[in-house]
Amino acid sequence: MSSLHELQLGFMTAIFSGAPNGLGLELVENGISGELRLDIYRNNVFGALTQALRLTYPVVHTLVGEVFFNYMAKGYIREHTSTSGDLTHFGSGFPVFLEEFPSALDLPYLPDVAYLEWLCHISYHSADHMPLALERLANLPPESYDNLRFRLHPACHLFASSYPIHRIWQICQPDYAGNETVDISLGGINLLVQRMGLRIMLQPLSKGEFALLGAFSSEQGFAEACAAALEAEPGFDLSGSLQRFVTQAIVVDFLE
Amino acid sequence: MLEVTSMACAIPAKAGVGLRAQHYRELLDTLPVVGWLEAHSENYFGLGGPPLHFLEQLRFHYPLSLHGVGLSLGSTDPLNFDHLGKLKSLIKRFEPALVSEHLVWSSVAGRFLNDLLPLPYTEEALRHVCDRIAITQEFLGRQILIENVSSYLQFKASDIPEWEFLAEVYRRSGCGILLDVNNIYVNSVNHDFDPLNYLRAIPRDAVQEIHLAGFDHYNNILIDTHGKPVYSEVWNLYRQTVQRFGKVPTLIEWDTDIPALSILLKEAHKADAILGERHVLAA
Repeated sequence: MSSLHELQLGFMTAIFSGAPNGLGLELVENGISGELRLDIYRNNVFGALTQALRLTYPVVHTLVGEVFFNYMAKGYIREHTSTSGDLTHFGSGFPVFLEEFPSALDLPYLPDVAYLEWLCHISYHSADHMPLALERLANLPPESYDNLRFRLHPACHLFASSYPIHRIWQICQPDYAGNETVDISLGGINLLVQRMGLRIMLQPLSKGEFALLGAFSSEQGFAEACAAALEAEPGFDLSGSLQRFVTQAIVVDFLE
Repeated sequence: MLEVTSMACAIPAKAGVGLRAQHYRELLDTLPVVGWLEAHSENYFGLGGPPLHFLEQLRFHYPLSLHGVGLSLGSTDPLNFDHLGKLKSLIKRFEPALVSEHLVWSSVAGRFLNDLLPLPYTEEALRHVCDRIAITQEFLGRQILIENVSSYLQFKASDIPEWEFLAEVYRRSGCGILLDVNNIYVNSVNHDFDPLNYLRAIPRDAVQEIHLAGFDHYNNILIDTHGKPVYSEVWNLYRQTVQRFGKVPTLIEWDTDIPALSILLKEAHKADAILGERHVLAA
């Protein structure tokens, strides 16, 4: 093993284990102990990764407060390796981590809120896409409709929760000024995360809408998707919904 | 028909500011007089959305430099060609006049610390990092600038002074130097050396960009937080830097407690005033 590699491994061990001087890292003390010097790097490393989580999970941060958020973040950072020089990818496992985090168990909705925030984060950085040109559909022979596989905008994500996470999300927005209580018995919700212009929006969906878009996103054919929507919501307005999804650039493409 | 021209244009020997998301809208609405913008490359590695939208809009109005923080050039892990590929696409799309990275490592054994960690200044590390810079430049098809960093410790293994190490990286790898004057000052206090010796060790034609920022104090150690105005000691050292290296594009960096754009621009105008002074280049 090269001495450079050994030094880097020793440094990393010292940062994450907290144990002094991993693998015999030799530092010049010069009036200040090596441990104090390493502490600065520990603070920098944990600080930058905590800040990355805070930026991705602002609602979780608001719900639990600064002190508890930092405590959870520290636990997450210890267990979950950052694997990229691009911090955008860091924190994908945070929702699952919260499901198991003992002190967060009395906030059963927290993992779902976190998962919703991760989808918002992904949506923010997803590819752009042109709206669907309706004449492309109009030019198709009607008999080909059944097998069309519609595609959602790359920034669209679906999420169903058994908690009222839309309401929770709303009261935690910085510009929210209304009543700050949420009745947990409001029950679950089906949500669409989308990017409209440059903003991330959440749209509650009916059972039929959610089933239809879910079928599209799992690449089912149009006939199958319609059947799923009607089963989820008898009397569901298929053509009206599809038209709205195209107009709002939620459905942006199809494969024949 | 529209004439298609290249957006690439040289960075003027003026002050620029670091591009931060908080200022996207105001920059675009007011188009303030500032020489150029510098963006953190990794913030634009996504496939779409607001960051790329704003960078594209702003690119029409300002010369651009791309500054990387995550390539981990000094790491003993294999170079990350996925990361380099994204950087290359970004360069192709936005045609920055300058592309820079740090003289650091930030990952080992597949784990990223996402911090700018100092190398031991040894012949082994020198060879390693020069090889990696050469591969990077070859892959990108262009020269990159390498920036000196602040550090809060020194390895006993180091047997080359930091300034000689940096100068040697320049001579061996064919890169340019992005000289961070604040980092030189911070290290001169933390490791007790004369910052003017540092400046004198750097070849005159190596420096293509300068960084300025503010630091914080922690137990008699200066920490490069990029969260304060530039200190007067650093302005003085900057003046001496300009005397030695001439008028070089200079960036005001501010990354924590990011202030109003007007404060950032005021700092840039201070740098412009120093760049505008008549300097007699010292022999």
